[in-house]
Amino acid sequence: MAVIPRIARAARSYLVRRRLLVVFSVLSLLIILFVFIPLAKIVFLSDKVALWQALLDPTVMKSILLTLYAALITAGIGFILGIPLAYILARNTFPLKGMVEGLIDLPIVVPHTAVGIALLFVFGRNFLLGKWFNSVGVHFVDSLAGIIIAMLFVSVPFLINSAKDGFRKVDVRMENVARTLGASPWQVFHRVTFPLAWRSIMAGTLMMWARGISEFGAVVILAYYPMVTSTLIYERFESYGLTQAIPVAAILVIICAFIFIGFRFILQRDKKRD
Amino acid sequence: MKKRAIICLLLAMVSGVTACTNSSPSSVSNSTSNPDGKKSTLVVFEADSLMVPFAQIQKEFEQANPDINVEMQAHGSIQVIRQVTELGQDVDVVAVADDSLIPMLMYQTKMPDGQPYANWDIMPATNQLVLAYSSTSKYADEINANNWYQIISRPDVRLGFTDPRMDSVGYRTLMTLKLAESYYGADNILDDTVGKYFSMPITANEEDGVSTIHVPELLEPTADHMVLRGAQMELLALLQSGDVDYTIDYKSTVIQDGLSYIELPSEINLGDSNFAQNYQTVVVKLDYQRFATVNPIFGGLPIVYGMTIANNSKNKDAAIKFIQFVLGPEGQRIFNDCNQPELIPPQCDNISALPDSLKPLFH
Repeated sequence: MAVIPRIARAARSYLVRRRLLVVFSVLSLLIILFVFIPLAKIVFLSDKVALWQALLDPTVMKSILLTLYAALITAGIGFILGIPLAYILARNTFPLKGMVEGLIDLPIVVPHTAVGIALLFVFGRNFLLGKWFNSVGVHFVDSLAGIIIAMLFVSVPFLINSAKDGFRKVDVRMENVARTLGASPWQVFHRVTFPLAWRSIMAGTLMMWARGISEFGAVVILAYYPMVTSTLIYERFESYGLTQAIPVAAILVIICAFIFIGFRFILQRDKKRD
Repeated sequence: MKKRAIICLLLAMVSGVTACTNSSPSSVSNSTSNPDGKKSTLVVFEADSLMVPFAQIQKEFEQANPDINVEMQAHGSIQVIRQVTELGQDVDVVAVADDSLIPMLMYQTKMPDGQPYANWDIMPATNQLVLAYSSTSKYADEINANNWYQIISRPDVRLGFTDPRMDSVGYRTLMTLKLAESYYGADNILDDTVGKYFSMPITANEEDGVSTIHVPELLEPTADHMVLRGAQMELLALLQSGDVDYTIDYKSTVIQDGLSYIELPSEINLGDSNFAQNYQTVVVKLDYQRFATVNPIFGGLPIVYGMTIANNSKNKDAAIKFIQFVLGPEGQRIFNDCNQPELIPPQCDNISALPDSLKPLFH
């Protein structure tokens, strides 16, 4: 007969023992729902016929592929130019280092329309870099190059910061051991430091790619065409209304969900293997 | 250090939450009588081209009415109205660059209770179109009032063009280019400057002396000549950076931005009511069902701005004060300072529907 009170008591004592976990779980659930519900609403509430039409619409597919591709090139450029800086910031001290680190964070806080205009006033044809690029046939208005510089500017801090943290976690003693065993600095970086920081670098690259995909404000100033998906969603919304814009957003959300969950899965599996 | 950071964060959060709870009742109830000294919020959505004068009006209006806090947002004129009628934004005052948009999109669209979104339209201002350029624009040393349409037809010139589906400058640009054909006796100005540079061309056909310009469903530029943007503001930035050579825009905004411009003849610049009959010979039509209930046709008319209070406004008293301010001496002085031409005297299409305190402005 005393079963129910006993269960209640057990449950209470469990809750007391795991109070931290319980409180944290409730708070976590709130933030998960906050992120999940709007995304789920875009996907599940969009009209099925319209969703199907958007899926078959070549403009939509072309734009999504362009977006993924441009963000990928951007992440590649960020990788080549950002990792050396991340390494220097992690391993060296120099005057004004704090300022450099602050500067790298700035693109995250500057409003993106302002970023677009700022880039235009550097890479526009009337200005130094723009003039130079123009003379070799590269221009940044309504072109892939414009999309890429806009994405690069707003997304590169994610890679640099993540890679920097990764390099910091690598024990300097390991590098020193490799050096005493006769490895050159390049070999140490390539064989020891980079592989040990690899997971942070990959996570940063992925974040950078993701940030590039989502960029709108800066891209739309430089390149209305070719149309990236965020611009397409804006254009569909402005010229046809929500019913036409939501399916495009839904497709992007679905594709990105697969890509990112897939990447997490791979990174997780590699971790287990290590 | 860590502890201090967390305390700061918590403090910021708490102050944020209290700020939210303080301000939300004012935006919900918006009582204009403020016994407790709280500010009421007035939401104004205006056309992009009104941004400069309205920013100054906002400043002086708030000084004159310390109990009112004005929140402004600028969009293309069509978007201004769609924010109200399709997105359900709570907007008190709507001000657009084309007065005919208010009857077209607000009288004919019904609120959930069956009432239209607006039932009167005050016309406070006018404008005219000019051809804007900068000193670094291609052929800037060559262009003049007689050859401008030939220069912007050249394939190596980059012409900025605003999407006519979103912004009034866009469809008015098409009208001016079409009117230029008969004015200059040149046949293909519309086609050579804009029309043929899209994968689905913008075309015109003539019937009973009226040219109808058809805007297709998809506007995708096919050559560098055409630089399309959703809002005219972005084109002015591109003009200054040297990535657009020319664009047709409202004279007031071109002057405000300190750009060079060529005046277009009154017969085609949509800015002179004496030529209203001439303007009526062009019409712009969107070749697809754009709005749920309304099929818009933009008739060639002299440029007149329109202003109204949305029927679902939650702060009508402040909205009325704002309109009185715009039409009063202060507003008129600011318009003048910003080179925004006023309509003298201001007009209203439906005086009997106006709030009583606005009626005396129209005799």
